[in-house]
Amino acid sequence: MSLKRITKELNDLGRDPPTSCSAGPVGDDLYHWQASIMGPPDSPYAGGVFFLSIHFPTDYPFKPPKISFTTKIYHPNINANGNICLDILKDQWSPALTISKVLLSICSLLTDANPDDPLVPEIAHIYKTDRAKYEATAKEWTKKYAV
Amino acid sequence: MTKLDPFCCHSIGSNSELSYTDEDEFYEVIDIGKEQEEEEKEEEEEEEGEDDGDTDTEEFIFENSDSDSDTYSFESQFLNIKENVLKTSKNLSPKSSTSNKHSINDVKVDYDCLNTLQLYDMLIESKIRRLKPIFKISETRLLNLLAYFDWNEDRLIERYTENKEDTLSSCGINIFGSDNGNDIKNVIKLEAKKSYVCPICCEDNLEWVFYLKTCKHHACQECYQRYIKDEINKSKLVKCMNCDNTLNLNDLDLIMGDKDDGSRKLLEFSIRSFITKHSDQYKWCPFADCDQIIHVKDTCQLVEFPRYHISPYVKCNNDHNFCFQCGREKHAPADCRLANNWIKKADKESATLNWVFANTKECPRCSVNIEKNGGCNHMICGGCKYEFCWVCEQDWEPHKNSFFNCIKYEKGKVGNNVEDENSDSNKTKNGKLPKDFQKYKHYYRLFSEHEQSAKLDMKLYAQIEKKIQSMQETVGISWIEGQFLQESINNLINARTALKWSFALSYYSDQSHNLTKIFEDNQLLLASNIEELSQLFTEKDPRMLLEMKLKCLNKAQFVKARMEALIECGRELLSKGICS
Repeated sequence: MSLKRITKELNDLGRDPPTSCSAGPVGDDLYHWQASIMGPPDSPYAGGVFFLSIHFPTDYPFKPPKISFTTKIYHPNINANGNICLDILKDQWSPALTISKVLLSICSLLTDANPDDPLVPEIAHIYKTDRAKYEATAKEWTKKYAV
Repeated sequence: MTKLDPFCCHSIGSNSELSYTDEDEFYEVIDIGKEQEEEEKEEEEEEEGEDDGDTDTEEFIFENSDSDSDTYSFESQFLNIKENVLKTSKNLSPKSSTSNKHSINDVKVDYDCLNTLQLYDMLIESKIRRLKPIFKISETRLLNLLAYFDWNEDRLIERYTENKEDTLSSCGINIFGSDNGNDIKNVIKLEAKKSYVCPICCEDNLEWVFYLKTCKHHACQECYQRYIKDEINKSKLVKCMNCDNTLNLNDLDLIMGDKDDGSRKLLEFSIRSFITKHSDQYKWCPFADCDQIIHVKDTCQLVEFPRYHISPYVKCNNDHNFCFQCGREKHAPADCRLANNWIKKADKESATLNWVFANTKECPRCSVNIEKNGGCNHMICGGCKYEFCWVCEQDWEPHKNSFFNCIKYEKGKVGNNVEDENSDSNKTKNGKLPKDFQKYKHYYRLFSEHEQSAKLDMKLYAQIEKKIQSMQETVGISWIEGQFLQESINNLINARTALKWSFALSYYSDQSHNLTKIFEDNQLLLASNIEELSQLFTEKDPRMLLEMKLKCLNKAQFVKARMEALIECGRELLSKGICS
C-alpha cells in the first residue's frame, strides 16, 4: 500500500517539480530517498544547497517520514545530527501531507525559524538576542558546508 | 464494645470449633442492633450540634434544583449528584449493596461500580439533556464540545457566553452549516467508481469512499479507518486529513462501522481525564488490569471515616477490595494515616532491609536454600526433613499448640535472628542498631512475610480453582459443592492482609498498655489459625480436600471472626490514642 503512494509521489515530483526543491530515491530502495533544498534567497542560507535524507516508514502515509539534514546547517530548529524540529514531522503529521509539501515547509522554516520551540537552545538564544551575529554565523556555515 | 475480649475467645477455644461460628454470629447480631441504636443517637447529636450551616445550604440547593428552570453552573453539579443518586439507587447491582457491610461501624459509604461505558452513558444522560437547550446544536456536536472541554460544563458555558463563535469553531463546529439542532452527517458514504483513486493510499478498485460535505475532501474507507484508529487515541477531536474540519461523532461511527471503535472510543479518552479531574468522587480500581471505576455519590460520607479510625473500603465488580480514601489495598486494622506512615517508613528503610528479606531462607539445620512456594509458614526442608517455622526459623514443634509466639516482639530477644542482626550491625559503625530500628525491623519483617504469603495464597487460589474443576470431573461433585474452597481461601487471604497490617499497628502502639497486649494476643490467635487454615489447602488430593470440607469451613469461619475481632481491637487502639 505504501509503495503505491510513494511511487505516485515520485511521479508527481517528476511531472511538477517544486521550485528550489528536489527529491528522489537513492538506489533501488523506494523507501530511502535523498532530497535537496536550495537556501531561500531572503535568508542567510542563500546560495547554499542542503541535502536531506528521507526514510519512509512501512506504514507511510499514516506515519510521518523520517527526514534529516545531511548537510551541516546553523539553525535554531536543526541540531548537529541534522534532526529537524518541525511539528508536521511529529504529532501534526497528516496522511494528506506529501514529501513535496514537507520540503516546502522545511524551506519556510529556513526563512522563518521558530526560536520559541528550539532544538538547539544556544542558537535560539543568539537568534533572539543578537540577530546580526546569528545571520553572520549562518552565512559562514552555509559558505563552509553548503556551497 | 466488648465483643473482642480475647480472654473470652480463649475460653471459647476450649469448645469444639463449630461452636465458635455460632457464638460469633450471635455476637454479630447483637452488635448490629447496638450499632444501629448508637448510629441514630450520634446522628441526632451531630445535627443538633455543629452543622447548622451545612444543612441550610443543602436545602437551598435542593430548592433550586427542584425548580429546574434555569441552569446555573454551580447548581448543575448538585443536580448531577442528585440525579446520580436517583439513577444508581434504581440499578444498584446486588454486589455493591452487599459489599457495603464492610464497615464494622455505623459509618458507611454508598458507592457504585461502573466501567467506562457505563460512566459514559451516565455523563451523557446527566449533562447532555441539560445543556442541549442552551446550545441548540445536535447532541453529537454537543458531545464533541463537552469532550473537548473535558466535561467541564462550567468552563464551557463561560467560554460560550464570552464568545459563541470562537468556542464552537475551536472544536471545528461550523455554525454556518445548516445544523438547526438536527443531526446532520457531514460525511457521506459513497460507492467508489472504478476509476476512483484514493488520494491517500493511491489504490484503485476500491469499495467505499467517504466524502466530507463541508470541505469536499475524501478518502477510501480503509485509509479513513486506519487514520481514525491512530487519531482517536491521541486527541479529543478527529479532524479531516486535509484541513481543520472536524469529524462528528456520527461520522466516526459511520466510517468505523461500529460505535465501540468510533465515538465511544473517542469519548473514553476524555472520560479518563474526567475521572482524574474528579478524583474525589471517582477512582479507578488500583489493581492491575482492572478497568472498573468506583463512584462515591456523596463525598460528605467520607468525612466520617477518619473520626472512627476506619477507612472506606470499596469493592469493584471484579472483587478487588481497596480503600477509597488512599487507594491502597485493604489495610485494616490500620487506618489511612497509619498505613501511610508505615508505607513511607518502609520506603525509607527498604534500602537497608530489602536484602534482609530476600525470598529465600536457609534451612536452620542443613543450610540448604529454601524458596517458599505456598502460603503456609510451616516449612519442611526438602533435604533434611527438618520442620521449622518460616517466620522465626525455629522448630515447628512448639507452634503446633496455641503458643504461637513467634510474632510477638520481645525486647532483647535472642534467637536465630542473631545471625541476621550481627551481619546487620556489621554495617553500622557503632556495632549496634538503634532500638527503634530493631523494633521496626522485627515488624517489617513480619509485615513483608505475610505480604509474601498472601501473594502465594493467591497462587494457591488459582490452583484451588483447578482442583475444584478436577473434583467436578473425577469425584463427580456439583459446582456448588466446590464453592466452599473458594470461600475459605477468600477468608484466608483477607485475614492475612489484616494480620499483615496489624503489624504496622503493633509497631506504632504503646507496648506497655494493656489493650496492646490484648491486641497482640488477638494477633497470635489469628496468626496460628491462619497457618492452620493455610495448611489445609496444601492438601494435594482433591478427595481428601472434600472430606475436610467441614473442617475447612469451620476454620475459615473462625479465622474470619478472629480477623474481625482483631480489626475492631485495632480500631479501639487507634481511637484511644494508644497507637500513635
